Amino acid sequence: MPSVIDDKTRTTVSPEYITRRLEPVVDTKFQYPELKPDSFWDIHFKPCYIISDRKVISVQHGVTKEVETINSLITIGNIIFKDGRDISPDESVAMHSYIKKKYTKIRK
Amino acid sequence: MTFEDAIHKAFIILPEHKEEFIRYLKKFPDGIEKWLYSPSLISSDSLYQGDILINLPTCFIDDDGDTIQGEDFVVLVSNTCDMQLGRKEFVIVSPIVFLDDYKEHLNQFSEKTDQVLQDIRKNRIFSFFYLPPRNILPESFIDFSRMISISNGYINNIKRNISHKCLLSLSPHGFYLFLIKLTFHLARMETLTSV
Repeated sequence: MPSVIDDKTRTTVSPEYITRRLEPVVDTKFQYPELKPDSFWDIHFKPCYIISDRKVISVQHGVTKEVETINSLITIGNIIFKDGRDISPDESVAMHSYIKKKYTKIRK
Repeated sequence: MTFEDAIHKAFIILPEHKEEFIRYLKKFPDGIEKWLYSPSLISSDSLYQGDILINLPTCFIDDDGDTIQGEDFVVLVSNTCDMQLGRKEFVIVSPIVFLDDYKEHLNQFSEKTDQVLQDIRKNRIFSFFYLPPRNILPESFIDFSRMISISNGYINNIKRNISHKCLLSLSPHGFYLFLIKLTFHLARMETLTSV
């Protein structure tokens, strides 16, 4: 397995680093033939290394896009749920009562 | 970040769905019954995040540390890819609460039952995701605060052999709304330096 350039640190990383520290192993050709390595970030956000033709071709962290995506979803939530609230004590007690009636207790 | 910016930066929303999703959300919470569910996805061979299954055994741990068990309609919370057979040992699900059943208890403990029900219908309670009625699913909500794990093999067996228990799938736009509410419930805004 050859050394490759880590896209975040811009340094060469060894195969040992790759196999020990990064996951998952993704073979774009065999597992996701429809995806290009760049677009892989769109569906998988953990640090990963990309394999094509059974060779490591790049290391991607995806952290930036992960944060952007989650922040975007939270931003959308902030807007569309702007009148939102947590469950109130009364509602919580009602839920407790609902749960107590609905489920059967299994004693140890 | 504006609303439109946020939609465009959410890579999980496919480009071809963004404009229509923006139109839907500008009317939100009105009209979700028209676009929340998919008319056809549930008949595919795969399980999808957001699918609704009926009458699954569920259990929780109560205040005494005892197990309480029952049966619920549930929504699949795990990622679609993690629900493929052999991928992960368990699937995360969230129970669904029928609004009429909850109302019965609200009437005992709240003086504002009608207002609470309206808040649920308008998706105003952070930990609840409102489900309009469809097929045999009555008006309901997902309770994200009670997620549990169920064997992946068991869920896949239901999909293959008892498929009538797989009741509904979310539409792409319904799925995006589901993810937004789930993220809003579980996550808080992060900065790049805090990662």
